[in-house]
Amino acid sequence: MRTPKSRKVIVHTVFGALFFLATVPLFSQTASVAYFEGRPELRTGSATRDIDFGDDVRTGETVVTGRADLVELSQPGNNSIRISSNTVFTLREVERGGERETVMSHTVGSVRYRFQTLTGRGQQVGTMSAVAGVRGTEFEVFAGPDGATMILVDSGLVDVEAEGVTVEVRANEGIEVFPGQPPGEIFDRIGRPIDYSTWQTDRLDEYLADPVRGLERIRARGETLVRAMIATHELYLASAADLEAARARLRELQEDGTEEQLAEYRDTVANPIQLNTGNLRLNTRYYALSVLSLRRFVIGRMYMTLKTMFITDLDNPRYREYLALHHDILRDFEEVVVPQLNRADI
Amino acid sequence: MKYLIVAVGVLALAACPTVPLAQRESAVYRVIELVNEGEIDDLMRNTNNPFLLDGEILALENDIEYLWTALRAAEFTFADAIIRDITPVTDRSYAEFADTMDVAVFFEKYLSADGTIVEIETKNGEFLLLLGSRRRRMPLVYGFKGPLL
Repeated sequence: MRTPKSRKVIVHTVFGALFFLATVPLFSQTASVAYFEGRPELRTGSATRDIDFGDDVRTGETVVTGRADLVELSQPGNNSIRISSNTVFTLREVERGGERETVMSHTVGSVRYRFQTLTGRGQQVGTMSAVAGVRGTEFEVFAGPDGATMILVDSGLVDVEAEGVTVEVRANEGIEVFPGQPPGEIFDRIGRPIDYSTWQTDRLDEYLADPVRGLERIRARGETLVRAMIATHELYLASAADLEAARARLRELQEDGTEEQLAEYRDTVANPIQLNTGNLRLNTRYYALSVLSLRRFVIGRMYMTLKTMFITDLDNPRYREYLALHHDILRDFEEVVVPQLNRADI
Repeated sequence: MKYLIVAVGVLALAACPTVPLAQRESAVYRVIELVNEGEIDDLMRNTNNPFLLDGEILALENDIEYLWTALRAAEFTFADAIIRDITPVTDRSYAEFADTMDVAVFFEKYLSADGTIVEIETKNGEFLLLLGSRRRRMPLVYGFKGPLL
């Protein structure tokens, strides 16, 4: 009997920040709190509040769990997202191929996804076997302190993309992705129990064995994101200029043109440019916020770890080298990324 | 006449603005003692989340606890601390930690209205402590920077 082929899910990993993308607008733009333990928080811009049952988590909002916290989000179609302790999980929005999609990301911690239903046009449908109905896709994602990611698939299929390379990971398989590198070798999970805590410790140990190299890898990958941000921003500026011109033309038509001319110009020129401009701004912000997450939850945390490690040996040459690189990264961040952020992002 | 003098004294005291806890030397020394010797759980209760470490914001409870625990494990303390200066925070105070948007917003958004920078000299160098608000008769620790070079 052939194993039913579940609908495929595509996962983009970006140096420890795992961005989940479906081939279609997978989810509505909100998820609801179905269950929680402890005192997890919901951060929206500058505001933070305790989570409660039934709360909606919208795009732009972040769920933060402490060491004793756990949150389970649900969406229509019996889809669920289980956010483990010590995790920062954010819903963001991005425009791809003319569609706005919700992107789920977490730069630290562990999240388990279960998708029973994929909706939308253009979806990839796997071949059905003798078992009727669509099997769900369930997988877990670990985000390591060094920017590494591990994806463990329980059921279904997950495409994992990094550095322009995509690999298909099936049920009972797993894969690691390190910052700045394409996906690693797929491994068989059967007979190989993996827990987040042990994996996280291993990642940290490896980073601390050569922290300068670790930070350089993160920097390299971060620069890829920044280049995408800059490219998108330049397109945004060009589109914003076109929009300004289109608006000027609309004003002319309002004065001198007919209603039909005005309506046609608005529908065929001005509105599409406006939409495109908005989408480009959205995508620029998406990249900028991704870099901010990297700075906050990978680079910043590693700075703290290194500082405590060398607190009684601050003149250590390895530490001084690390600090110099860290300083350069923050300088570049301040010059290039901060202009795309606003105070509510902090 | 005696009652008049007492009444004037009471009025004079009432007119004096209360000095925030974070700006009182005795309270600052209590915080330093907590950092140096207190139970980590107690220290965590008097530590703000998020926390500013030099120019980096620590936003996870786990990380802040790791910081204090790791410093304790390294036997690092603010030993033999002497307060050199206590300064209420102003609009530009954030630059003493780092002249970045991150730190400016931290001061603006997360620091209490009575935020104070305390400069201390210790056996392990000079540090800036960022204190404010109050909990259990001590100011909260919002961050620290140092040792200053």
